[in-house]
Amino acid sequence: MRLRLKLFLISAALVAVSVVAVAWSVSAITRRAFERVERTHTDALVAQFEEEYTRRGEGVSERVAAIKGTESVLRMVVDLSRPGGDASLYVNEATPLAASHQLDFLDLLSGNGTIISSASWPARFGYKEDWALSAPTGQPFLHLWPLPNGKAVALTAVGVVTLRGKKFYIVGGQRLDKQFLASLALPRGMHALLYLNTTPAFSPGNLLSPSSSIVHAERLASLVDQVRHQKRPVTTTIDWTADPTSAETFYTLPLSGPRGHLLAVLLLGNSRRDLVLLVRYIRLTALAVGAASVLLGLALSWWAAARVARPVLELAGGARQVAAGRWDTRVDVSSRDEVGELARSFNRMTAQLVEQRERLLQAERVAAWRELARRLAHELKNPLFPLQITVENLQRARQSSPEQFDEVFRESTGTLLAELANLKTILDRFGDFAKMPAPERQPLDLNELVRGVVRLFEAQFTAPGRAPIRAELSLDAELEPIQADPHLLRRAVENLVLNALDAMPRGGTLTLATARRDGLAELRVSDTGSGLTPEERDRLFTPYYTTKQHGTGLGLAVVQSIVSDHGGQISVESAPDRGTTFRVLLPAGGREAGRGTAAEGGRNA
Amino acid sequence: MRPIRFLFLAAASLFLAGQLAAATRPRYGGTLHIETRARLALLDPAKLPAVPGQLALANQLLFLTGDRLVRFDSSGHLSPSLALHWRAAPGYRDWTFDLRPGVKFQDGKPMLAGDVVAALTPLHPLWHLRAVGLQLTILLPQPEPDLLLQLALPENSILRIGPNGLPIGTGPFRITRFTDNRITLVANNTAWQGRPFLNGVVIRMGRASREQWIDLELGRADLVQIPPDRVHRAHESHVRVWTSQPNQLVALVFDRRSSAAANASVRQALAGAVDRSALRDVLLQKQGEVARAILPSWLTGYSFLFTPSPGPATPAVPAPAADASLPKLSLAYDASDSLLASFAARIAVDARAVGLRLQLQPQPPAAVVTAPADVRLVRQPIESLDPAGALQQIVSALGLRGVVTLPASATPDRLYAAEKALLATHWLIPLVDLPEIYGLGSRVKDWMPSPVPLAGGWRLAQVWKEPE
Repeated sequence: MRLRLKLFLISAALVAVSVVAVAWSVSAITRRAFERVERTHTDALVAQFEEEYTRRGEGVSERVAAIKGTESVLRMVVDLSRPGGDASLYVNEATPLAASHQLDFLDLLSGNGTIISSASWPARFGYKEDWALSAPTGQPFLHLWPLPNGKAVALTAVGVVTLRGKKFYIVGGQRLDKQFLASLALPRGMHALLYLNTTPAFSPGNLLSPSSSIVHAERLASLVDQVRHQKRPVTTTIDWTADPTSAETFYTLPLSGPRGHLLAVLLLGNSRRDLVLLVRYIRLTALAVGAASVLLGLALSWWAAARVARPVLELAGGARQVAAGRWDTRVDVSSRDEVGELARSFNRMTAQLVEQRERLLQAERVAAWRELARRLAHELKNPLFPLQITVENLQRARQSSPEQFDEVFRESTGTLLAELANLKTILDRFGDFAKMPAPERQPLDLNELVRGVVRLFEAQFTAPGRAPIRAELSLDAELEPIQADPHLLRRAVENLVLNALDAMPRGGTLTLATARRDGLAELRVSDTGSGLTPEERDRLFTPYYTTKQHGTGLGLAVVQSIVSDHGGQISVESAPDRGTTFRVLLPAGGREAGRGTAAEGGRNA
Repeated sequence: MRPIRFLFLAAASLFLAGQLAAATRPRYGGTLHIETRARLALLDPAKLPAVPGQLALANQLLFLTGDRLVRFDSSGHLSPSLALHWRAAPGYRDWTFDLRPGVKFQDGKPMLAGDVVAALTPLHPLWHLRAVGLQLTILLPQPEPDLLLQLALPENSILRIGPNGLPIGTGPFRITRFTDNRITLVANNTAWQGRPFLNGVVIRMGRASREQWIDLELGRADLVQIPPDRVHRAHESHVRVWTSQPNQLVALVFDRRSSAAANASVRQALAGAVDRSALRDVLLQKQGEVARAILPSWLTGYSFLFTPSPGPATPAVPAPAADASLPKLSLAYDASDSLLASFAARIAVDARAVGLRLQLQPQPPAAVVTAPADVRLVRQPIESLDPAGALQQIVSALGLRGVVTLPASATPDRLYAAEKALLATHWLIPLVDLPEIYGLGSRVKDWMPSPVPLAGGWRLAQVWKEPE
């Protein structure tokens, strides 16, 4: 990944993280603030409900007390407290009393709980309501009233009239209904529901709302069941639809009778619409700000990265130039920071490299001249010494044995001519190496060339006086023709084969293989000789370097020169006692393999 | 005492005695204002209504406007009316009646035997009636020893339909106007029994009980119907209250087409659950009687032989154990009948005590019989003075034909057995026997209706009204 892109991504990430963190913080703070307000509203509403509940309960108690003092009740009590009193005369007494005192329920009971008259269920006269005998008197409480078609929950109060030792109970109640809920002043976004626990299982029909009917009331089933089970307040959030703005947080207040039975549940719902919309708004704003920030950050980071990366890029480019061989590369960075210091150090380094390369080149030249001189001296000394001996023999023969001088002269001149021919050969070789011609490329079948070279040296593989050498060919039949000079390339292959034969004085296997590698033509020449040491391997291609007793040391240097002139590459793999493999890569179809020599140690061909 | 004072005292006493005598002496004149809850659309003996209230009013009108061949006297014995004499051939299939001569219809036309034939033929298509002069012969398809009882019923009144569609009879009153809420009758000056004291009778129909009561208190009505639960209040208000013999059976009748009702345990459970005493003592304010049998005691005389109904529907009542598989039952009743509504509500409570759930279905009066309900709460009037005939009529009217075999002859023991067998099936659960209860204005005098309304009705011919 490029430096500029890295810097951009880092700055963009920083901006995005900052924006997200701010947005999250704002959202969290807003949510907590909403919840605090919601809690405040809920508490206020609960307090209002409890106040209204208490007020209504007191109202019921007052009405019951008032009914106790009515003429009709007193007449009934007087009549029924006498022996033989006929309760049937008062079977319809409760209904008008309830209506006149705005009570939804009114039962007149005898001392043993027998219903004398019932306003809500007149047909129940004669049946007993034992619970009233032990109910708290004077204090309102919640009670479940049986009705012909179900049950109802009502705020209830019990009054007692005693006459002549006989008790009569006045039980009155006001229904908890929609009107009760409607009396609550609800803040905006809040609404109140009342669930009447009159059936064993949750029933949507038991849910009261002061306004219209409740849609999807069954979604409150689990909440109500929780309260029914736990008998304590529960708070939860209900999602009415898939739209998050429809969510409502419900706070529940269980309402129980005097014996602890849960008779009703008050549900106070607070819409989360405003909160959801606000959070959504915050997020959208954060998204917009974040996007703008990212774009701004992109521009800024791009500019900053450019300012930061440019000198680094120049340094990187300079390093590439140096790696490509242009050691005289200089980087133009004028800043005074660390990057500028680095650039100046780079420039100093390349200047030193150039200087050292010059020195090295010069030293190499000198070394090469010295080597050449040494080699020349060594090569020339060999033929020159016999020349000197031969001339001295002629001088001695002329002086000491004139009768043998003709024979000595013939032998000596023969020797002189031979050595002179040898000198010429040596000089020709040097000359050839010095004036190596440029290759004349033409389509060449490398496999055929290899076969030709092998045929040429077949006789030598099994020459008498030497250990036999077995030649193996592994030629890629699919290898396409390459563009090469057949003469030069043949010469290179011959030199490699000669080198391999020289490396196997005790016989072995010579392997020639061709293949296509990454679009290049590969030629491998392997022997099973004694191999090379790492030092020998490193100097193998140095002109005039040889490990043999005889030889100019130019064979492999010629091979290298020919391969290099063809745009190829030669490398050697060898280790002591593991043979040697020369690997030549030549471009196929004009593509260059890359110049240079690679000496790979430790690997067999 | 000095003689003058004695004479004065004597004269004053005589004067007062005379005044008192004058006050109790019937007077001609006045119009009797009657109010009823029921409403009649027409009066036709061949098309008597089935709704009990309407039928009762129709019967009263028939008694007012027409006469029968025979009638019940004040002691309840059959006595001559339009027929002076009668005889039955052995076998009781051939009856001969000698009609009263000189009887005229209210339009002045003389009544002949042919008029009797014309009146009775539509009512009894299977009778063979023959008129010769003032002699009427009736040939019955089967023996009818109690034919006279039948002929005394108001449905066998001898009436003609006048050109204005109003019935014309020989009774003490004639209908002069018949609207949807009012019937006006005027005295028949040529009635063979003598002109009634009243000049006329006005019957306002379709009046609610409360309205009737107010009108009675205000003097706008002279005769009103009083619901049982107001009798006590009427007594407290010093209103004269007259109660007839129970002539309506209030009962629960199971629908034989109902699969739920086919369960005998269900019927038995409901029969045992209903607290009849509570119905009579509380809802009827002790008016009427607990029905032990189908027919009232005054008709059969043997109702005391039946097992008393169970006590209050409390856990102490030995009702059949509530079967968890007992189904819900639908109970239909006349929605316009407040008494039946209160009965139904109480029955539902009693049923719940034994695990039965009754779903109340108030229906329009005409739809009670046809409504798809498992059980019905009905008022069934006694429509015959013959116990066997009454039982036949009740069984037929309540759709219980074939439940038991009713005896052809009316011997008490066989009738008792038939009633007992029918009650044992619990298809019919008698609850209470209801009387007719009327409140009378203080100016109404000589009110002496037939204790059994079917036997004579209001008998307004001898009623007179004290002037204001």
